[in-house]
Amino acid sequence: MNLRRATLSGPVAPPPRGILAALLHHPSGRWGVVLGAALAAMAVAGPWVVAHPPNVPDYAAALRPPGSGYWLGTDATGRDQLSRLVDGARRSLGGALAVSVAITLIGLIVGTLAALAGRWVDAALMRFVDVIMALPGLIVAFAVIGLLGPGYVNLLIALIAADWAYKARIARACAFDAVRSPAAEVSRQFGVPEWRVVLHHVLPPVFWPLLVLGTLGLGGQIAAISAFSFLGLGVQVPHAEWGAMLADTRFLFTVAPWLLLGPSACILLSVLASNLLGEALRDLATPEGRS
Amino acid sequence: MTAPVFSVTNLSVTHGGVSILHDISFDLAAGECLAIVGLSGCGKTTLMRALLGLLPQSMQVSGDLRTAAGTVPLGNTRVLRRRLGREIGFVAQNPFDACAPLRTVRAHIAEAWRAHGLTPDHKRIIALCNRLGLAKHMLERYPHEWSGGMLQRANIAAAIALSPPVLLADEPTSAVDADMAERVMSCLRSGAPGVIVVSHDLPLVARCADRVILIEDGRIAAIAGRAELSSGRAPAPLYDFIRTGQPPCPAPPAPGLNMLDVRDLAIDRGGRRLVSGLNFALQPGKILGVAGPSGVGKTSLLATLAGRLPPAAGVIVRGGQTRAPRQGEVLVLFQDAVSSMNPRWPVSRIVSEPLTSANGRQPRRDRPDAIRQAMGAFGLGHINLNSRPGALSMGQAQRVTLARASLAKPTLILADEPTSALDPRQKSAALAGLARLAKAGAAIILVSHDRAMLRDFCHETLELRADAQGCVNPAARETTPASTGLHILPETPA
Amino acid sequence: MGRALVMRLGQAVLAAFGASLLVWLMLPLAPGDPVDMILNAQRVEEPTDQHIAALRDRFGLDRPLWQRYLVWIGGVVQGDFGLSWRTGEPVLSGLMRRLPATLQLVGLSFVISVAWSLGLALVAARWAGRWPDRLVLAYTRLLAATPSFVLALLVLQFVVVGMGIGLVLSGGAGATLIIAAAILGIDRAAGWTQLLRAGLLEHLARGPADVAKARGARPGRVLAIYALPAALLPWMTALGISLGGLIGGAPILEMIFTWPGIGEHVLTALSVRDVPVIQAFVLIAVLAYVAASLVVDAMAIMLDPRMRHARPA
Repeated sequence: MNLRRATLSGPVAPPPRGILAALLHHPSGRWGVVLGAALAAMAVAGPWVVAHPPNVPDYAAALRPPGSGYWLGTDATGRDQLSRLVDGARRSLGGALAVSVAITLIGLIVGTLAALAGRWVDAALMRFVDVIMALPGLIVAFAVIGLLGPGYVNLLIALIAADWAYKARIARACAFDAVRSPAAEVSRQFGVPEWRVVLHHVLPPVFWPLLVLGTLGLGGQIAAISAFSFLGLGVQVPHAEWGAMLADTRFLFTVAPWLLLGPSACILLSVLASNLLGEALRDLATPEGRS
Repeated sequence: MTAPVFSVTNLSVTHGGVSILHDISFDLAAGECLAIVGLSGCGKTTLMRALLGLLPQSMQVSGDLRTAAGTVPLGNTRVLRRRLGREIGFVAQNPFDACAPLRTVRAHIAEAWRAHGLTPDHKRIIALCNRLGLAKHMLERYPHEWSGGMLQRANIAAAIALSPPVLLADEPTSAVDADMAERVMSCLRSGAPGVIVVSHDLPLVARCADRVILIEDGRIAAIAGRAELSSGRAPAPLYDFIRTGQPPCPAPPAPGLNMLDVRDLAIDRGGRRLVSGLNFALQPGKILGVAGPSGVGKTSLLATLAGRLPPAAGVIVRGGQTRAPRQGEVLVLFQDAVSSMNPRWPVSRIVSEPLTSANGRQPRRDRPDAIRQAMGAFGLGHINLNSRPGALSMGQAQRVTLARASLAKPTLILADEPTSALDPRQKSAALAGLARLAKAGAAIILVSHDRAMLRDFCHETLELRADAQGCVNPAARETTPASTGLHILPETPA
Repeated sequence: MGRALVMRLGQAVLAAFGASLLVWLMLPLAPGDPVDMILNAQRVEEPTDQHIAALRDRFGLDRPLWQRYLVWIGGVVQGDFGLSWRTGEPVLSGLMRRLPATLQLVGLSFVISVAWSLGLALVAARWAGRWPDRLVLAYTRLLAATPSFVLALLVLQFVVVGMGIGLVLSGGAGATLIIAAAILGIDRAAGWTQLLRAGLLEHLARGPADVAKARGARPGRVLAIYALPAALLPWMTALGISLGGLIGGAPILEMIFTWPGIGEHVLTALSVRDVPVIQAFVLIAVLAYVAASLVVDAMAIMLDPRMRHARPA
C-alpha cells in the first residue's frame, strides 16, 4: 500500500556502517552486545584470572559463604564457586555456540541444495525433514542421548539432531523464493552467470534469516545444555557446567542458598543476551530496518 | 449553496513538532460531492484519518468538526468516536481489506449498529441490499466468496446503515474492476446526502465531484467547482496537478526492420487456450500497449515473449530469425520495483549490475561515470548512491530500475503494470523514463489496465478480450497519441 | 473442508509411521552390541554364555532386522513395547503406571499457560505502548530468559522455603502439583504471550480493525471482535507445535518436585540406556504431539471460513 510508505525526497542519510555499529545503535541490541561481550570475556579470559582451580576439592573450605578469598563462596566439597562458574561458561556458552553454528551450516547447505537442485532431490530431502520436524525437538534430544548415552559431546550431537531440520526447512523456503525472486530474474536477464546470481541474490536472503534464528536459538541451546546437565545427562562430574552446578546445590537449599544464585544468574543473563541480540539482528536484517 | 451539513474548521496535525496538516477548513453542502486530491505524501490520507479518529496517539490533532448534531473537537477521539458511523460513514479503499475474513458479510454490515451498542435492524439491511443491488443470499457468505465490486457495495451499505449525512470514501474504485467502478460511484452518490472522495486520480473523480480541493504539503492549495474547472477559470495549481499526471509524448518509432515479429501466436495455460491468432510487429523505439481484463492472458503473453513459456502455435521472429531470446536481449520490468532489487545493495551497485555481466562488461573505473550519467538521465541525480532500496519512494525505485535497464541496453522491454502503484507525478516521470528507453532504441510492451494511460502514451494498443468461448479475439488498432485524454483540461489552461 | 481434513489426517498418519521407523532404528543404530547394553543395564558384571544366549532368545536379537521391525511394530500396535532391559518387566505397564501423574502436570500447566498468556497479551495489546504493555514486555523478556528448572529452583528457594519449608511436603500432592504446573505453565507462557501480543498488534493495524474504529467501535470491542479471532488461529497452531516443549520439559520438573510421573523412570532408563523404555517414551510423546497438532490444525480448518471452503488443487 503506497500511502503508508514514507516518501523521501532529497539525499538520504547513509545507513550505519557495519553490523556492530548498527547493533550498538539499536535499543535492545546495545544491551545484548554489552552482556554478550561480558559473558564471552568471562569464558575466554576468566580461567587465567580466577584464584582457585575449579575441580580440586578442599574439604577444609567447604560451604564457605561469599566473602574475601571466595567471592561467591564454596560448594559442598570446598571448590570455589566463582572458578567453577567461569569454567562452566566455556561449556555452556561454547557448546551452545558450537551447536548453533553447526545447525545453521547444516540447514544452509541442506536447504539451499534442495532449493537449487529441485525435483526429486528437493522432494526427498524435504519429506525427510518433514518427518524429523514432526518430532518435538526435546524428545529427539532425549532419544539421541538414549542412543549414545549421557555425556557432553553426546548432548551437543543430540541438540544438533533436534534442531537442524527446522533450519533446513526455513533455508529451503527462503532459497526457493530467492531463486525465483524478481531480483534474481532481472540479474539473469542481464546475462549474469548463474553462480553469481546464487552468490549475490540467493545466499544472502537465506543466510540472514538463519543468522537471526541461530542467534535467537542460542538462548534455547544454553538453556538446553544446562537443563540436560542438571538432569545428569550432559556434562559429567567433576566438570563444571551451570546446570550441573545447580544440580549439586539441589539438596543444600537451607544450608547454602548462595550456591543457587551464581549459576541461575549466569544462565538467565546469557539467555537474555542472546534474545536481545537476536531481536536486534532480526530488526536489522529486514532491509527496511536498516535504513 | 445550501447550509453546510458538515464542516471542518482549522484542522492541524503535528507529529513530533513537525506540521503534517496545516489549518485545513472546508464545508460540505447537502447533496454535494467533494473530491480531495493530492499526490501521495501530501497529507490527504492524514486528513482522512484525522476525521475518522484513526491517527496514532503520538500525533497532536487540533480543529473542530461541525455537523447538525453539534461541534466536536477532532483531537478528542473519545468524543469523536460516538459520532463516527452516525455522522460520517467510511468506505475503505480495498473492500477485502475492510472486512474481517472470519465473519459473514451480514455480520460486517450489522457491525454498524453493534459498534454503538445498538440492535441491528435486519429489515434495513435487506432494504439496503435491495437498493444497492446486492443478492440477499450472499449476506450469509464470507467476504472471500464475493467479487470486489459487490463487496465494495456491501461496504457502502455498512457505511450508510445509520444514515450518516456524510460518506467519506478513500479511493473507492481503485481496487475494483473498471466496469464496476461506475456502479460503485453511483451507489456512493445515492447513499448519503454529502460525499467526500479522497483520491490521487483527479480526472476520475472530477467526473462526479461538484467541487475539488487540492492538498499540497499539508495545506489547501486550491478549491474549485466543476464549472470553473472545465471553463479554465480554476486556480492554476489544479491545472499544474492535472498536467503532472499526464503522460509524456514518446518520439515516433524508427522506421525500418521489424526487430520482433509475432505471427499467429497462440498461448495455452493450464490446458486452456488463452490467446490465439495474435499478430503484431515491433520496430526499435515502438511502444505497444496491452490492455484487457484480468486473467485474459496478459502475463502469459509476456512470459511467452520472454521465452519462458513456449507458444502453443505460431512463430516469434526476433531480428529475422525464429529463435529463443538471447541473454540480455529481453528485460522484464516488474510492478513492484523494490522486489526486483537486492535489498542489501546500495543503489549504485544495483544500477551497475548490468555492467558486470558478460555482455555488458565495462571496466570498473568507468562504472561510476556510467552510473551517474544513468541516474541523472532518469531524474535521480539527487539520490544518495549509497542508499538502499528500502529508503526510496515507489516512484524513485521504479526509475532506478529504468536507469538500470538503460545500462543493460535490451532490445525488448516487457513492462508489467510498472506504474500501477505510483501517484500521478511519479507515474508521468516513470513513463518519461520509458519513453527515453524507447528513444534509445528499445521496443517496449507496456501492460496495464489503465486504458486512458495506454491511449495517451503508446504508439499502438493491443486489446486482449476473452470472447464468449473463453478464447481471445485480439484486435490491434492504430491510435495516434492524443494530445490529451483528459476531458476536463481545456486546450489553453488559464 | 472434508478434503483438507482428510489430507491433514493422512499427513499425521505418515508422520506417525515415519516416527515409528526412526524410533525403532534407535536400536540397530545404537553403538555397541545390544547384549552388552542389556547386561550393562542389568548391572551384570560377568555373564555366562548361557545367560547371553537366553538374553538373545528372549529379546529376539538373532532374527533379521526387518523381522524384528515387524515383530516390534506389531507389538506396538497391540500396546506391547517389549520388556525393559533393566528390570525385565513389560515396558508399557511401567510407563502407564506413571503416565497419569505426568498428564496431570502437563495438562494443568497447559491450561495455566494458555489462560495466563491470553490475559497478559490482551492487556498488553489493549494498552499498547503504555505502561501495562511495557510491564508485560519486561516481564515476558525476563521469564523467556529463565529456563523452567531455574525458575523452579528459585521459587522453591525463595518462595516456598522462604514461606516455610514444610509447605510443599505438608500440602501433599495437590499443592505440589499446583506449584509445579504453575511454574511450568508460567514459564512457557512468556513466549506464547509475546507471540499473541505481536499477532494482536498486527491485526489491530489492519484494514478490518481500522474500518471498525472508523465506525465508532470502542477499542475493547475492536480488540475482542477484530484482532483476537484473527490472531488466535495462527497462535493456536503455534501452541500445538510448542506442546512438544511442554511434554519434554515435564521430566525435569518432576525430578525437582519429586512428582511421581514418568520423568524419573525415563531418566533412569536414559542413564543406563534401557532402549525399549526410551523407545516407548519417545514414541508415546511423539504420538501425543502428532495428535495434538492434528487437533489444533483441524480446529483451524473448521474455524477459518477461507480454509473451510478451500479446494485443494
